Amino acid sequence: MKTIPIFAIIGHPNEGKSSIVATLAQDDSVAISSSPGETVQLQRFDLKAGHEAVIEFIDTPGFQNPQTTLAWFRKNEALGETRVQRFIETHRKDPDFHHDCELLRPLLQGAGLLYVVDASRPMTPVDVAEMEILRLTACPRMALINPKSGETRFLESWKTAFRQHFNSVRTFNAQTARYPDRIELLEALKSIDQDWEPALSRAIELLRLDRKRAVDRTAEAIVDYLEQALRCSCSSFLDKESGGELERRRLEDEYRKKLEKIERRFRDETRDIYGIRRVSVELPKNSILSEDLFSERTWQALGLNQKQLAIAGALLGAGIGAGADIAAAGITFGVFASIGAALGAGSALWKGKDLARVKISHLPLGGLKLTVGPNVSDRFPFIQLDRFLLYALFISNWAHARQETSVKLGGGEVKQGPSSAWKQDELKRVTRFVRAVRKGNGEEIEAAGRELRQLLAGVLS
Amino acid sequence: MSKPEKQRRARWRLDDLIAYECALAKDDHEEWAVLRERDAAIGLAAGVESGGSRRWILRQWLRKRLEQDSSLQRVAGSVSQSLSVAGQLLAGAGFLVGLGAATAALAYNGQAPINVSAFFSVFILLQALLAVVLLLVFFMPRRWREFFAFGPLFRFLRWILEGAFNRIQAMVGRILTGEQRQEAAEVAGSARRAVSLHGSLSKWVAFVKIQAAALFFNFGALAALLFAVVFSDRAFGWQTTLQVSGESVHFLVRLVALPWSWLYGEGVGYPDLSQVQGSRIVLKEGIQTLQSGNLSAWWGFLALGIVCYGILPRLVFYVLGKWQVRAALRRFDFGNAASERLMERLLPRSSRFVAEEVAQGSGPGATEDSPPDQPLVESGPGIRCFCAAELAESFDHDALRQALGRLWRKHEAFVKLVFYEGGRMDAPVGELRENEQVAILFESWMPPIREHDRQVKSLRNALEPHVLIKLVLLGIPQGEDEAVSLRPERQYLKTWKSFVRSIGDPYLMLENPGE
Repeated sequence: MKTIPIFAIIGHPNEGKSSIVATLAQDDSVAISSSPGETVQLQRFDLKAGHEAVIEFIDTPGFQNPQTTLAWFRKNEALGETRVQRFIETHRKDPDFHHDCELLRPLLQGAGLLYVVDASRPMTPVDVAEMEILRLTACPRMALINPKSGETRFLESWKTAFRQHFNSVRTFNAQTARYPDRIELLEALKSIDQDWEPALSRAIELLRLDRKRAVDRTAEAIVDYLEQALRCSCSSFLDKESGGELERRRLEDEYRKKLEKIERRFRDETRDIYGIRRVSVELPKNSILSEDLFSERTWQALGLNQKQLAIAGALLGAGIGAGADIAAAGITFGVFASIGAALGAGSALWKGKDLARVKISHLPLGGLKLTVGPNVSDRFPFIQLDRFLLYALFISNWAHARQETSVKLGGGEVKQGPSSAWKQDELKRVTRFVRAVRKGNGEEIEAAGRELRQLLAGVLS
Repeated sequence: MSKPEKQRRARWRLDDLIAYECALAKDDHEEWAVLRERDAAIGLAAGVESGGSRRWILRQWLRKRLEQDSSLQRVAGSVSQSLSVAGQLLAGAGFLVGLGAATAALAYNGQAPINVSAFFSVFILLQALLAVVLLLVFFMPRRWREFFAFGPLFRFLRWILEGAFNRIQAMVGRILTGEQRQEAAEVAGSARRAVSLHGSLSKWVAFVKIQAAALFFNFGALAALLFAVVFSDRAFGWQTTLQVSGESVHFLVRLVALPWSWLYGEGVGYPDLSQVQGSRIVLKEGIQTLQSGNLSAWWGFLALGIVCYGILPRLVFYVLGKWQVRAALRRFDFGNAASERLMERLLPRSSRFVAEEVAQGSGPGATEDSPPDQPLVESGPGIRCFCAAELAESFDHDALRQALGRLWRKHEAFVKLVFYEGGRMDAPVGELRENEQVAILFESWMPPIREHDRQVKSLRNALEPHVLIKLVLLGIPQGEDEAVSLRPERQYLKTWKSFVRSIGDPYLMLENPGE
């Protein structure tokens, strides 16, 4: 027997009940349709924090006979608290009342009610009958306004009616609700029945912890996959130079595919972290994230602006120069570091979006070794990081009720990735990690990775 | 015959009706504006406005449509052809079954003669009995026929079938999506509509095909018998364990042969007493002692029996069926919803649709109150408009009557609002005046639910089955100036159309589909 709070989402057909359930339970397996009558049976969905179910939401079919049901309820007032049970017993064999019996069934379990309406339309006697039925059940209940359009002419009349019939009223758009909106609604649910407050408080606490865990896991995934992208290279051996050009192209193609695979694996993992199971979730064609990593548009829209790029280039160049200073036992007084920084800044500004450097080495026993990658562009780490971050942000705020997938990122001229807003300190954290990876020092990678994870967790929270 | 009378009796053939239904089905997926423009251009408006015969007008429309649209011609032709081929296949199958069954029954290996009693029972007696039963059905008073047809057995079968159907529907409903369920409901509704509209005609068409098959069954049996007699040596005899005398058998034979005995008498059309006695088989004695003449005397009796009790009744029923098909076509009511919509389309841009279009195309300030050019009619039958009392509370009744009056180009005094409570219609319907029209109002901004379905059905039960019910959808008023809107919300239009289709009532129409 479950002891967690249970909420039944009730309303007229096609008011968005299933969407609300999908978003609140963070479950995209809930069947949603734009045409009425999709849900014909009760469906239970647990909102989980980790593996623990903390709240149960029940998706119900819409009212089919509100006025007849209300008439029956009024006629059988003497039945008192057993009215719902008797109604179900009386009508359960009547196919006409199948939906009405189903939607009232959760009340027998002591479920709270979330009555969903689209307040952009006028209220009708049917709505009044539905609200009156719910009032007569005497269950703790909240009215949820799920606005389907911007029409507000009828909102006041709805609110007046809600105040008469419900303990609480909230507006909740299942299609656009982000994580804070969901938590806010759960907080509000405490007010409809005091008995549920401890359980709901615990549930919210667990959900917050779970969210933090998800953010940390995502930040960790970004750092891991960024490291893989920075290290990514392909090489092959040739007996003679004649086929070199062809082989180079093949290697470039392979390199590109390897990077794509890294991104794909990252996306799968991120979706898994946030419980988005629907495989059809794909980015729209016009999204910047569906552009090729090395496309003109990606390099224009993501990564750093010119000023930041100069700083980042300087930071990366200074790192290399500092290496030379250390090698000279410090007698250069940081001259190499300064020159490196200046060169780095200049090269970062002018270096294009070449796929990757191609290295050809002649082997001592004859033949050639061709290597494509890793990419040494100063912009590349930031572009890759932005792509990871944008996708993670997109997924972490995903309303599970959404049927479409779109990322609105504005025009292509301005920098749109999160990194474009970073200050020098934040850029330093990234460049430190990039340098560590390029140097291949395990301890440095670990330390810089930790710092970068903290930065990313802050962005994702 | 006068011209109007000629028009009233415009003859529709089965192929025409098939083509008509195909044309309507094709138009069902077209935009109203496109259809209106196309049909208004056909030039039958004068006939419609002068109250011409609907049968004739629609027949002319069909002729034009078939001329205009070769694909429609092909579709209608293929449906008619399929029906015809189905009939031919049935007849062919009947012939083969008759031929096969009779050949099997006429198997003879020289040991024991063919048993006349068995052949007679299957190929003559059984068919004669069936013919008698059919005749009784034909001449039985309608009340009796309905009692037998819809009696306890029918009710029991219906109960069983309904139970099975509901269970299957519930099971399938769990697998299908909402949209698929709706489509299935539409298909079921279309079937109900077809049965309701064409049930009588289909019954007689099927009857004709079955009679043709039965006729050919008899042809097959007769062919097998004649072939066996002409091209092989067959012996016919009769046998029984009972103590039955030859005289009794002869008496029965003479009785059966009465219809043809005036043409082919004793010894030719049926065996005489000595032949009957001489063809009795006693198995322990064998057939060596029996005379060949006596053993071959029966074939004429059997052949004429098939002609008289098999072929002739079937021919009569076939002709009777054909006549009934014609009668059903003559009776076919073109006052159904689909034909009504078509008649509206034939008018050149009637004011109500112009007004509707203006309102839809304009900004929020515009309403269908935009001045209609045509004056409101202040005579003729009125319209009784049913509205749930609870819904009526949300509207100003005078404004509602005015809006509805404009929709039908009637003065508001001719629009009578009738309010019903709790979905019960029986009491408020009462007696309709002659030609009084009926409408029912619903709100379009909510999808239809079971309660709506029950209200429509309750209204239908309170009315005659052929009274047209117009379902009018109320829209959301666009501003303070507009008290009532008859522009349905687009969001649920498809669902409301599907709802009307799924009810399967051929005399229910969506009056303002917002197209």
